[in-house]
Amino acid sequence: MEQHTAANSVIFLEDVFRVYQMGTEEVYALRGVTVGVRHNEYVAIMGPSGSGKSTLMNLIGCLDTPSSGNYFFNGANVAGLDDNELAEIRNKEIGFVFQTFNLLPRSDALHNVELPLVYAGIKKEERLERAYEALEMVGLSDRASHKPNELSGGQRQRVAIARALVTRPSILLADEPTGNLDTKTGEDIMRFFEELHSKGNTIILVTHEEDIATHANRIVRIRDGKVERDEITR
Amino acid sequence: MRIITDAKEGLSIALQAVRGNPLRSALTMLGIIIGIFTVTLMGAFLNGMDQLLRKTASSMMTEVYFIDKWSWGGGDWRLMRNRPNIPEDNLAQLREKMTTASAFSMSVGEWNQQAKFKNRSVEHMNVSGVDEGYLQTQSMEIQYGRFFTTSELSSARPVCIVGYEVANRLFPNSSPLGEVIRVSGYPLEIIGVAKRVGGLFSVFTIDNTVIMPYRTVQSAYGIKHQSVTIAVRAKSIEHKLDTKDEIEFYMRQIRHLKPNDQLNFGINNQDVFNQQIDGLTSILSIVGFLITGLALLVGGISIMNIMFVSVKERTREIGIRKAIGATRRSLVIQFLSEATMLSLAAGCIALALAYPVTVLLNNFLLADSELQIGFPLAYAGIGLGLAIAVGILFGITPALKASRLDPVDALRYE
Repeated sequence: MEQHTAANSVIFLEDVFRVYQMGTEEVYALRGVTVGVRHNEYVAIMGPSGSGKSTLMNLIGCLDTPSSGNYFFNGANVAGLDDNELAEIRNKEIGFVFQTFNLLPRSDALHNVELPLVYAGIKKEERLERAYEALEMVGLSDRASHKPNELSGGQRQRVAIARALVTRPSILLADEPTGNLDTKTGEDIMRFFEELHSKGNTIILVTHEEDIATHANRIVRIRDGKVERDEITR
Repeated sequence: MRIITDAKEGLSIALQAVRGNPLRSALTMLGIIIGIFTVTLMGAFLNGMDQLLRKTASSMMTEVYFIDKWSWGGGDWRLMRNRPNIPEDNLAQLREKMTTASAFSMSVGEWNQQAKFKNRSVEHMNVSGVDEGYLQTQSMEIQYGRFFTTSELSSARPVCIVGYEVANRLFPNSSPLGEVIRVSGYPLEIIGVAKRVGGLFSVFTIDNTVIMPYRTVQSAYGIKHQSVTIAVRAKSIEHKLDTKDEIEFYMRQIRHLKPNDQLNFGINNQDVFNQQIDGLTSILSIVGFLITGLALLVGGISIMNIMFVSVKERTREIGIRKAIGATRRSLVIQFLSEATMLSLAAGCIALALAYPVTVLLNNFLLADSELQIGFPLAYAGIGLGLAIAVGILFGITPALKASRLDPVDALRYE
C-alpha cells in the first residue's frame, strides 16, 4: 500500500502526543501517533479502554488539540487552530456519530438534523430542504416531527447519521455507533455504513468490538498510546 | 445574518426550557417582575409628586418678591424674630424710589383662624388682608363674584373673598356669594370665590384662605399690624434679579444698613420653593431608585442563578452543539437570548400589572387626592429597556461559562 502522507490523506496525524496534567503528574494518553486516512477509506480504530483510543478520536474529531505533533486536515495543519476555527472544521468537515446518539431531546428529528446547518449560517429554506434529504437518505423522512424519545434506538442512530451527513463532511467519525443497540439493529446500522462507504464516504469507526471492526477495510490497533498494528483487512 | 439565526435558535431553546420548567421559569421571572413593577410605579409616583409640588409653587408669580420680616427657606428662627418690623410706610417709600418694579402691594396675614357659617365651620385657615395691588402681585383668579372695589378697600368694608377649600367646606351645596360668614367672630359678606389652586400644600395657599381688605383686618382684629409683607413685581422676568438688587439697595437705605451689615429682612421669591422641590424630588428619586435598584439586582441575580443551573443541566447539550460546530459566539448569543427573553417577558408582565395598578390607585385610593399618578409611555420604554439590560447584564456570565465549556468534558457529562 502506498504510504500515507499529509498530501494524499484526508486526515494525517504526524507524531502526535497528548499529555494530560493530573495534579503534578503528567499522563501520556498518546505517545507519538502517526496515522493517515485517505479519501473513501473505511478504517476501524480499535483498542482496549485506557489505550488512548478515545483521546485519538477526540483529536481526529477536532474536539481536542495535540500537545505536540501535527494534524493535517485536507492538507492544512489544524494543530494550532483556536476554538472558533476548530468549531468551523467540526461543522463543515466532520460528521459525528456517537454511541449514545447525542440528539437534542427536546427537538424533533428534523431540527436535530438541521442544527449543523444553523451553525453553518445557512438560510432556513435550504436548511429544511437539506435536512429532509438527509432524513430521506436514512429512511426516516416520515419521522421528521418525532422527538428522540418517540423513536427506537436504531431510528435515533439513523437520525444521528443524517445529522452527521447533512453538511456533506469530509469524514464520518463514529464512536461505538452500535454500543447502545441490540445485535440485529447494530447489524442494520453497520450495513448502512457499508452502503455509505460504497457511495464514496470516508468513515472512521472507533470500537472495541472485533465483530464490528471487521466491517471496516482497515484496522488500526492502539495500545498504550501508540499504534500497535495498522493492517488492511479486506 | 448569523446573529439573528443564533438568536432565533436561542429563543426556541428558551421557549423549550420555559415549557419544560414552567414553575421554575415563573419563579425566576418573579424577581424581575417585582423589580420592573416597582421601577415603573416609583417613576410614575415621582412624576405625579413633582407635578403636584410644582403646582403648589406655581400659585405665586416667579417675578414677584415678597419683602418680609421672615426669610423663607430657613434660617435662624430667633434671629429673625428679633428683626425690626416692616412698617406700612416702607411701601410708599419703595414705590417712590424703585424704577424696575411694575406693581406693588401690601398684605398682612393671620394664621390658624376659624371661619363659621351657621353650624358649619373651618378651623386652621388663614386670613389675608390685602390692598388694591393684590391682583397684580398674586396669580389669584376670581372664579365667582368679583374683587374688592377701591372704596371697599379704603373704607374697611366687611367683605371677603374665600378660597376654594373654605367655600367648599362652608357651602358644600350652595353658592357662597352674598352669604355672611364669621371669621373669628367678625361678620363678613362673601363677594367672591377664588379659583382653586390645588397642589399638595393647599393648607398654605389661597384655597385655605379668607381674603379681606387690609383695613378690614385691622378693624376685625382691633390691632394695627406691626409688620407687613410688601410684594414687588419686577418689570421684566429676565431681569428680575436687578429688581431684587434694587429692593435690597433701597431697603438698606431705609434701614440705614452699612454695606457690610447682614440683611435684617427677607426678600422672598417662589424660586426658594422650586429649589426645595428640586431637592425633595431628587432625594425621593435617589431613595426610590435605590430601592428599585435593589429589587432589580435581586431579580437579576435570580436570572443569573437560573441560567447557571440551566447551563449546568444542559452541559451535554452544549457539548453536542459544540461537536456539530457551534462557535463560542453562537452559544453566548443563544444563552443571552434566553436570559433576555425571560427578563423581557417579565418586564412585559410587570408593565401589564403596573398600568392597571396606577389606574386603580388614581380612581380609588387617590380619587379625592390631589396626587395623580401618571403613566407616561416613556416609562414603559424605560421599564422594558431596564429588563433587557438586566437580562444581558446577568445573563452574560452564565452564557460565557457555557461557551467556554470543553466539548470533550461536556459530551462526557451525565
